Amino acid sequence: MKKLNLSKSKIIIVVVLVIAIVIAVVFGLTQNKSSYASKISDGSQTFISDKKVSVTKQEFYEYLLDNYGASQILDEVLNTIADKEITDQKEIDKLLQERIKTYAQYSDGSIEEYAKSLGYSSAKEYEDTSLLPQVKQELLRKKYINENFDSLMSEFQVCSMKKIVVSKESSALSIIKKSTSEEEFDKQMKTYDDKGEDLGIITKNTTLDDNLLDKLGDLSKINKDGVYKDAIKLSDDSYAVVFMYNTDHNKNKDEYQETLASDGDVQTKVESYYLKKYEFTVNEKKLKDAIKEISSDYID
Amino acid sequence: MKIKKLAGILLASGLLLSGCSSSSIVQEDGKDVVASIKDKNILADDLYSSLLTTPTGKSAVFNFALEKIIETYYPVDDDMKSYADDAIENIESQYQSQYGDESETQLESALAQSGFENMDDYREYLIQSLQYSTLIKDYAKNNFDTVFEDYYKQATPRYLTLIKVSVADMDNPTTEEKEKLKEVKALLKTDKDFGEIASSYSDDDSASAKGELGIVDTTTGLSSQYGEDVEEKAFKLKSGEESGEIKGNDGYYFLKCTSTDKEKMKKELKNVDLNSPLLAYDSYMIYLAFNTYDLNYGDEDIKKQITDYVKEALKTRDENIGGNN
Repeated sequence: MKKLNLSKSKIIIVVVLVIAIVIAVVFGLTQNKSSYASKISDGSQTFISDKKVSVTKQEFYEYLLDNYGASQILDEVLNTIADKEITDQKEIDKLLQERIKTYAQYSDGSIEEYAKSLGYSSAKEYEDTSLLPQVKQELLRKKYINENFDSLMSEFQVCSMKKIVVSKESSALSIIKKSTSEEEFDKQMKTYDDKGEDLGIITKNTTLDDNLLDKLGDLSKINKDGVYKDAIKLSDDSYAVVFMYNTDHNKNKDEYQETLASDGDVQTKVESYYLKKYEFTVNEKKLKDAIKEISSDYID
Repeated sequence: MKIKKLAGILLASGLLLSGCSSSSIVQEDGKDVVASIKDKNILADDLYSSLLTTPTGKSAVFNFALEKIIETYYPVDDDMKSYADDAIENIESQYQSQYGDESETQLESALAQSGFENMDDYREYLIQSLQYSTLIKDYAKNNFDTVFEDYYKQATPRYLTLIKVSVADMDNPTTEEKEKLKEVKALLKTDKDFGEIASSYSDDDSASAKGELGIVDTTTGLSSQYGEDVEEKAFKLKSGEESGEIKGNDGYYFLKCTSTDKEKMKKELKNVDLNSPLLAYDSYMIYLAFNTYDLNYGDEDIKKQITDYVKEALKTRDENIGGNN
């Protein structure tokens, strides 16, 4: 029988290789079973069992993370941040009462009933765990918007406008010539009846004709009420005449702030700002990826 | 030296393989920290507790337990896979014939609108639905008498026969369409059998079965297929009664309730399969089925959370439909 003759160096390599494979296999198998590194304290405890089913609390924890982990973490950190940033109790209470009144209307004036319809055990639980955090988030957004009002107005191209759409350029130019004041433009709107529309406050995220949207950068910079000098050719070859109003943004700050606060992109911007300010970090890779999928701005 | 270097590379590669998707978990007082901001750590334990106390978390406890029951007692089998594959093939061929070269784009858009990332995602959903339906089917089968009694009471089932006279534009029927309608009405006044008239004149797919729709109940969805007035009339008819002319979707309809015989229906539905109407009439049946499993719970909190959730659902069921199961 031939004796296996391995040199010492080869033996070391083989042993190390075996250890490396064992580590990879053992850890690999563990990872197949669990894609999360964090463990809850009593994770090995039974969640439910019967003669065939056997599930641990750790498995349920991971199920929760898979389905709700990313949004729950974001909620928790943003609520903590809001607790630190929003401290005017009178302001909080006022807005909370307003919201309670609004939501109670959905259930014949009873906030208790409304809370129960959402799955909360009582109005108090609903107020403490959902409404109050929502109110604080709203105030946090308002705070940021107030502090960064001008730059947000410019970035999101916020403005107020009325428009009349006509099929011929000559008609559009004629309207421009006649629209020497808001009253005159309103008269033209009546003349063109179903072709005129007060768009109210719009932003770059408002659904508009592409060509009009392209012009919004210029239009939102206008700081004097009046008709825009050019007829804007729209994508269907018709022409829009637009009248800009409420161009003094500070005079109409509340309305503009409301519009900004309800814009999803502004919300993400505000949240990203505070998450960075408070050095938000996530240790679970899978959750970090899920949070990045909600918005890549939330975390580096 | 060279050997040590090699050994080091091998060990490192092993560690790299083992740790390629893991995360570095920080701890605070021996507890895992999932995330943090300045001055505050979110511990795995706290995250678990807060997730559990939200309304979504409360329903998640039940959904998870149900999922585990389904996974264990109704694992995916070849029949389910084959059913899902057939269904997908059918959908793809329908889209192909309807949209031609655009079919792939149209299908992708339809999937996205329904919340599916792609066809694989939809296939998985189909298979899960089959697992779920099999659980309900077994419950209905094992409790047939009770379920049938409730079904008969709640869903007003009946045997219906239908005649359809198609009209392309309901505001402007053509002479031919008017003539056909006139002829059907005239025939219905004669002794000719309703089913025979359906067989010869109905434009509905049921014509080949003498207009028989089989057992129809309030959850069948007659209104979406034939129109609201058709559905309303269908459940007002007594056994043996005919409806007269009803203006509906894409035409005029005539209905006949051929029977509401309970025993006949019970006999027909006795063999509960996945197409049985007994599976669809009561969306709360899943809670009744869940209660047939004798589960042990890890702690009282979880037990209370699940049992309360099921109890609340069954209370709503009783309030909504006056169930007697």
